[in-house]
Formats: sequence, C-alpha cells, structure tokens
Amino acid sequence: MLLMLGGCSTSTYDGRLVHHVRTGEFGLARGHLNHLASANPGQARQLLSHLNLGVVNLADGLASEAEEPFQRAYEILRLRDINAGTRLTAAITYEGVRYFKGEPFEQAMAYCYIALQKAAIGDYDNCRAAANAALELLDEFDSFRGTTDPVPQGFSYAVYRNQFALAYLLSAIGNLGMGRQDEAEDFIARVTLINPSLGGLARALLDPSFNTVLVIDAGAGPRKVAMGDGGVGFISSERGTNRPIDVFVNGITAVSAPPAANLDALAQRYSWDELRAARQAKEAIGTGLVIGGAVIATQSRDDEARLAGLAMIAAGLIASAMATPDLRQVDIFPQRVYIVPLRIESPGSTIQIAFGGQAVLTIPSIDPPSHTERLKVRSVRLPASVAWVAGDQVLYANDGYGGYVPGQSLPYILGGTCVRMPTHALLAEYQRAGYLTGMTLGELLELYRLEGIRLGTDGSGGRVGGHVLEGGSWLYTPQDGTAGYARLFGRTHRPYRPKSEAVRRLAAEMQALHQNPTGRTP
Amino acid sequence: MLRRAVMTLAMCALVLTGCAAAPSSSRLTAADLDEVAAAMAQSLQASDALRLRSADAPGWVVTMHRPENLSSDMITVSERWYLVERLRSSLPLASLSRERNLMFVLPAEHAAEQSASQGAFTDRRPTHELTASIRSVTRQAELHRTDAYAIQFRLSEIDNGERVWSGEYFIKRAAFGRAWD
Repeated sequence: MLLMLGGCSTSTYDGRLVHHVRTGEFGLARGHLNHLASANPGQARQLLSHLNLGVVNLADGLASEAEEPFQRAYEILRLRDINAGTRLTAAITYEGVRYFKGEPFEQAMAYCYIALQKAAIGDYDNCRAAANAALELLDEFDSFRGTTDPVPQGFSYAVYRNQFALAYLLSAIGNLGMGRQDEAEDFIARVTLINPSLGGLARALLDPSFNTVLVIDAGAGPRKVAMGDGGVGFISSERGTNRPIDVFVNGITAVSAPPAANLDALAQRYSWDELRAARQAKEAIGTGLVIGGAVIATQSRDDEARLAGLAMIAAGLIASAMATPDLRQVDIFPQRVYIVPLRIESPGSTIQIAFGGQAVLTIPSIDPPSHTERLKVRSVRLPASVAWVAGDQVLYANDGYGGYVPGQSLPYILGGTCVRMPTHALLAEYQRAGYLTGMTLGELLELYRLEGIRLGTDGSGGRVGGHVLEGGSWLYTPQDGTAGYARLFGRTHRPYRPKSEAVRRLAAEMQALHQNPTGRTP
Repeated sequence: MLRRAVMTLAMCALVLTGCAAAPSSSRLTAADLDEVAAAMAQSLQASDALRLRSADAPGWVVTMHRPENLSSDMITVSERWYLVERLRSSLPLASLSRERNLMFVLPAEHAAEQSASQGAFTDRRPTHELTASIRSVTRQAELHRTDAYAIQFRLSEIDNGERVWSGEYFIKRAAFGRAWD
C-alpha cells in the first residue's frame, strides 16, 4: 500500500517532451507524444495529452492538424464541475484521483492557444469565441474568489473585468478577421487601458496596411512545485524578463514589442491551491501517528500494544504519503507571449526575430495573405539557441514556396530537393528538366508507396508522423512563417536513403543523368 | 485494523464520489443543430416566399453560406456547414424544383474553391443566398451559467439584397458548477 501510494506520482513532468520543445524539435516532440499515445490510449484521451499535441502541432506549423486535439481539449474545458465528484476524495485520500483540468491560468492559456489555432486557419469566428472564453473563465474565477477587478467604463463589447491582455488581443484579431471593426476597436482600447505599453502595437492591428500577425512564444513557463508548508506554488523556470522582442522583415526593423502575456505573473494570480489545508492536516495526522506509534512500539512491553504502535506508524506513513501535492501541469507552455503585427509586402519575405540585437530565429519565405484574407496569423515558438536559427534560405522546394530552389526538379527521394506533393503539374516540371521522362503520375505515386511515404496529413487526427526530410515517412508542408517551416526547409538534411530496390535504382539513374555532362541540372 | 481503516476510507470516498452531479456544459449539441434545421426548413417551406411560387415563376438558384458564429461557444466549421446542409436536406428538394422552380447549388464558399472550373456553374448562377448567424447571450450568476442562443436564417436576392424570408430559432442551455474545476 505504501509502495503503491508512493508510486502514484502526482507529477507528469515529461523531460523528453520539454527538451524537444525547448530545442525547437517539434517533429521529435510529436513523435514522442504519438509513442506515448500508442502505449497508453487511455492517457491520450486526457486533457493534458490533447493540449500537448495541439501546442506542439501549432508550433510546428501544422495548424490544421492542431484542430482535432484542441477541439477535444475545448470540449473538456467547457465542462463545469468535472471534479465535483473527486473534491472530497482528493481532500481525504490522494490528490491524483482528480481529473487534471489545469490551473485557471493554464485553462485561460489553453483557450488562447485554441483561439490562435483558429486564427491560423482563418476561422476567426471561433478565434473570437475561444478568446472570449478565456476572459469569461478568469472573470468567473475572480468572482468566486472575490478578487474581481472594477467594472470597466466606456466599453460596449470588451466588458470583462480581468486584465488578461493576450485574450483581449486575440479577440480583437478574431473580430478583425470577421470584419467586425467596432468590436475590434473596443477590445484594442481595453488593451491600451490595461497595458499602455501595448497600445501602439494593438492600434497597429487596426491599420489595414498591417496584414500579418505573429504570435510568438518565448522561454519556458513556470514550474509547479511543492512549497514545503503543504502549499503548492509556481516558480519561474528561467530568469523573469519582460524584455521586448525585435522583429525584422527583409532586414528592416519592423516592430519592437513588449510581451502581451507573462505566464510567471499570470500563474501567481490565477492558480488555486484549494487542498492546502487538507494536505497540512494529512501531514500533521501522519506525523502524529508516526511519532505516537514509535513511542508505543518502543516503550510498551505488551506485544499487542507494540503491534498497534507499528500499525500507527504505517497509518501515519500512509497519511503523509497521501499529503503529496498534485504537481501535474502543462509543461510546455512558454514564459512569455508576444503579439507582433507586421506588414509583409512581397512574397518570400524573410523574418528575423531577435532579443537585444541577438538573432534567435530566422524564418525564410513568408508570403503576404492571399487576396481573400484580411490577415495572416501565425504561431511562432522560439527554440533555444540552435544552429538552424540563422538559415534564411529555403533549401527544399515545398508547396508553400514559389521561388527557385537548386535541385527542385527532382524529388527528394530520388536525390533532389523537392518535397512538394506529387501532381500532374509537378511531374511535368520534372520532365521539362529532363528527369522522369515517360513516367506517369501513377508510377511516381507508386514510388512513394513503395517507400512507405504517406502524402499529406488528411485523416491523421493530428497525429502526424515525422517528415521525410527528418527521417520520417510523411510528406507535408507546414504553414509558412512558422518555426516548423524554418526547421524543415531552412536547414540541410541528410540525403534520402531509399528503402525499396525500385527507388534505389531510379535514384542511381537520376544521379548518373545529373553527372552526365550533357545531362540537366536538377 | 489498518486494512479496515483504509477500506472504510475508500468506501467513504466512493460514496462521496457517487453523490456528485455529472459535469455539465451550456454548449450547443448536435441534437440542437438538428432541431434548428428541422424547424427552419419547416418555416421556409411554409413561408410566402416559397408557398406563393409556381412552376412557371422565374427560376431561383439558392446558394448557401457558412453560418457566422457570433455566439460565446466555439462551433466548428463542419458543424456550421452541417447546420445548413441539414436544413437543405430537410426540404423536399425534388418537389421544390418541380413545383416552385427553385434549386439549391453548391455552397458559395465551396464553389469559389472550384474557380478553375467555374464555367460549369454559369448555367446555374445563384440568384439567391441563404445566410445564417448564431448569436448568444450569456447570463452568469455565481456558479450558474445560462446561454440563450438565437440562430437566424435569411434568404435574400443576390442582386438587390432584398430579404425574401427570415426565420429565427431560440435555444436555452444551462449548466451549473465551477468552470475551472
């Protein structure tokens, strides 16, 4: 029993996941999550798993693929009193019986990520609804605790009381995307009132010449820890800083922005340690039983009394073990979130993100929004300093890039640099360059099938595998303007190693053709 | 003794757990969307706009738009298409075409995606559009939450914007408990 309670960890800290996210290896992070899901399907249906997968997909530029896990997360978040049945049980026995729904600030952030994902796929109605859900939640929590902020005066739409600027900004973005200018202006005026330093940026959103918004995550979010007095609190994972972020478009300084959210501060205000008193009581009872039992067991000469003393010690240890706090949390939330409005005028623009003059990420090739879009919204997760942050060239032809890439006239699996989805038009392009002449699209698709490569992400439910460039067996193009796009197409990958004899032979033929002086350049 | 204590504790926990109410939500459900679609189809069919039309009337080609979600609930794009599709499929399409000279065509948004083959739609150029919006009003009182949803449909002439029919359906959903727990 003691072993069992000791083994029932109330922390789900996943060091591997955190490491992959910190280093910007979102493909590996997703692979890890997929592995965990197949090993434990029940766990994969929990809120935490949905959120982790959604956040990782979004960071990897797979906004559409983040839809399914975020939808499941939203359904759970909107349920009230999930833990009504476990409150007393958790207070009396073990906190791990509670369904993990996260602290209020984690739930508000989850709504913000859902809003961001909706904006990234152009579903602004739901972006607005999800961002407003974050504001509603915090207002309700404040009201319950009696810590409500004053009613804002002079607002028609932004009538929430709390001061969570990020959600107000996301709601404004949703409204702008829907063409609801009045409501967007109201939310932006509210942000300006909450945090005047965000006012200039917020107002830039209203300027029609700003056509792109980057929502940038930086740093590692706060850690949930036991405070030693039976309490639970959040501490910063890294030195707290509100330093502004600098974003350059094609080498020209575009924006310097302060964070719209700092999760260290958010966690201090919107976390809830309801079970602290119960924990203290269990710990006190446990300690009392152990001490009392030890006295009886050692002082008594009666065998039965000594046995009773030992039983008291065991009961005390159990009570102490049950006082272990629930330290589950969303491990991969960032420390800060920035909202950066940009003006992207030319296709294939390069974005560079820096702190204090030091570049932290370069994203090659972002296009302006299409003529049917008012805004393009992208989620960017900054990795820790790794080599590929400096890459400003697209090295692999992909479906999100219209420019020329050396080697693009041959598929990557045959020795070229093309990872576009095979189509009639693309095959014709290969053939115009002198490659794969006489081949039909069906035959080209068969090559991918022989290699076990899955084309596109349809029907994956968000559980996308590794990209073929990174040794995986999936072919897809992440959204431009994301860290996932930069990682896949902005750095050099190892040449493809064919698995099938047919592809190996054809790749060798293509290589010979390439080396032939009269041959073409792929 | 220890075993008995643990068993008692576990039994208490089970009893306490069993007494709790199930978690609830004030969101719209799929059944709500079915209910709305059926009621709106009935309203449209009974409207003067359709009832007074004859087989000789100038043809109406109605295109559908994705409903706009202005409610406090997130309603997925597919659920919103489902709503208009359910309305359409609840109508007697064959008899409407035969007796009222009215037909529904591909949703506008989907038709736009087919721009490469737009020639195929020229003989069925939409004359009317069916739009819808979903709104809600939220009332929050301590741990009680009520969302009153209003789903409005409009059928308008594309050329002059004249509304030939509109219908509205109201649904109220209530939930109780802590939103954050």
